[in-house]
Amino acid sequence: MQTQAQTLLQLPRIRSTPVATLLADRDALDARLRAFDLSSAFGPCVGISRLARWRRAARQRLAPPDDLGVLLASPEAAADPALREALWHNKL
Amino acid sequence: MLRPQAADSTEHSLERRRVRVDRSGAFALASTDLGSQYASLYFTRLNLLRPRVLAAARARWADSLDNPPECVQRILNVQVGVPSYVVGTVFVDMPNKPNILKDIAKEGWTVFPEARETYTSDNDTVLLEDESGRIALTGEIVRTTVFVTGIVIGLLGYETEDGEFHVLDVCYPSFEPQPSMPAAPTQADEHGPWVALVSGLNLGSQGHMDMRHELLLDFLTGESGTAKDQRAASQIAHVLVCGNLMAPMQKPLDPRSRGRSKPAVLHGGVGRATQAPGQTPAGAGSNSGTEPAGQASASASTEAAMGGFDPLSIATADTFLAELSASIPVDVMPGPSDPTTSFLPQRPIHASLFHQASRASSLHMLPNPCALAVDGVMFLGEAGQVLDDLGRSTRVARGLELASEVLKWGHLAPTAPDTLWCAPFTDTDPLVIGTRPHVLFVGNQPRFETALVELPAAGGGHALSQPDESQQARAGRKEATRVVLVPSFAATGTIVMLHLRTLQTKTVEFGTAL
Repeated sequence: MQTQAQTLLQLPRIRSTPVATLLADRDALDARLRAFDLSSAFGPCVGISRLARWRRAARQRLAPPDDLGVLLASPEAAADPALREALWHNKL
Repeated sequence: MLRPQAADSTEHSLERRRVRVDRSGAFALASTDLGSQYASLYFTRLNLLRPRVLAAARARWADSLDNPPECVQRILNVQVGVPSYVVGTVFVDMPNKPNILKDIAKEGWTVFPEARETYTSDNDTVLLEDESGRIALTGEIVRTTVFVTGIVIGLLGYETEDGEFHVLDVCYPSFEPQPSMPAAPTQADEHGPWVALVSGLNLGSQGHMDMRHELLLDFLTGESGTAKDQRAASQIAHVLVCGNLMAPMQKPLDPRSRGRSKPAVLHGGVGRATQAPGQTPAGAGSNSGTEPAGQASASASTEAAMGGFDPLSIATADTFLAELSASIPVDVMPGPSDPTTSFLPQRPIHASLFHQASRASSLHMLPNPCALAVDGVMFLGEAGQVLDDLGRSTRVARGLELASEVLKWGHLAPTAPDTLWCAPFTDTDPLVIGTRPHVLFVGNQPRFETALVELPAAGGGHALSQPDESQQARAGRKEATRVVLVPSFAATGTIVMLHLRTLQTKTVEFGTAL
């Protein structure tokens, strides 16, 4: 009969979350986020945060990439303006 | 008047007919963020209406023909001579439309442009636009159909040598099926219930209630006439005030408008603070009537912006609504001249403006435009600024015909935000109509007009070929909407009464002429 602690020790440890995987390769992530911004299928990217734009695209069933959605909703993206805001934020 | 009838009562007391009102319509939005751009609104509008137009277009043009025209996904991909259909947003390029860049270039600009009678001219071009680009439209249909900026439609045609799109047919969005009218009229419904639609009361323009307003109050509360009239008045179950409850501010803020007879509508701007001589502010209570002319200080400009405000009009409206709501449930929509936000959807007039009337639970403030259900009958309406703006944007139709086009387009105010002020929504467009209402009303119109407009459930218009049985059954089913243009009470002294079961209308006119 195992104790609860022994059961927990035997579970595989989750070393990397999807968000951490994306953040590991920052250059590729930035390229993907820029492509998300510039894609006309999801509408204009000016004046709206990336998360709000992703949610709008999801609500209108335009199939935005799911992993980007998880990243944008995470606390890391909320804290970093380079991730949170779109390409031309404060530049136009 | 509202006491229940006792068996041994010697008094003859009537009880007013009651109806259930559901005010949870889509326009009762709490707050809007004004920081975004309008491109998102057009994108959302296209995405909301495009699937509906595509479904209707497929049913109309593609499904039943042997050589169906192809659907071109991007407007720029149309090919010369190949019949195809495209879906996009219409843009009408009108040189007469107020254009801030042209005004600046002329160097004679003020903060607010002059109101023009019409934006149309002979040099208008109609274009169809989507995310990829835009294309100009030609063809006889373009001249005879109503096209305004902002509607989403499907067009069947082919590209000409000049790079324009020659239009053969137009297709409008499909709608969710209209819920059927809640109850068939019974014997008890012979005399009612009626809903009174009032608009353009313009209270307070003289600082007291007009004789006609008094007559209207007496009529609606049942205090006038004989017992027969009182029985008729007890069948009026609800009053809907469709905009312009209070008179517009009389004081002009633009010095160029001196000598004009029309008063400037409420604008709190920072125009030059010179007071036009000879223009007296309305009412007796205006407190900046003695403002010296020519003073251009900042305090004077804010004084001029706020000083023309007449507190008497609010007091008059308060008295009117308090008396009215003591006897009958009242719903008030704001209009262009009421003290509330001016962009669509207008927020309800705040009830705290009316000290006496707000104590009654039978007074409700609605936004403009508004959607409500009275005893299951769906009402949708606006206070007139949309229809007036549509009238300025097209020459093809007017009045009732133009108001009925709204039921085809699936959008209540397509010219917003182009020539009509509107909040910059980012992820919704609340002005899209999903199901056709039973009653569409427009307030503040110059005269009363009404019609029972019947439109097919999908697509609109005639089919090009013989559809099969199921399509015919669906397309043949017509949805009826009663369209009512409510006249302005200040101009005509007329109100409209609508029978809730049969959707018949009648007008009641109040006048003091012998």
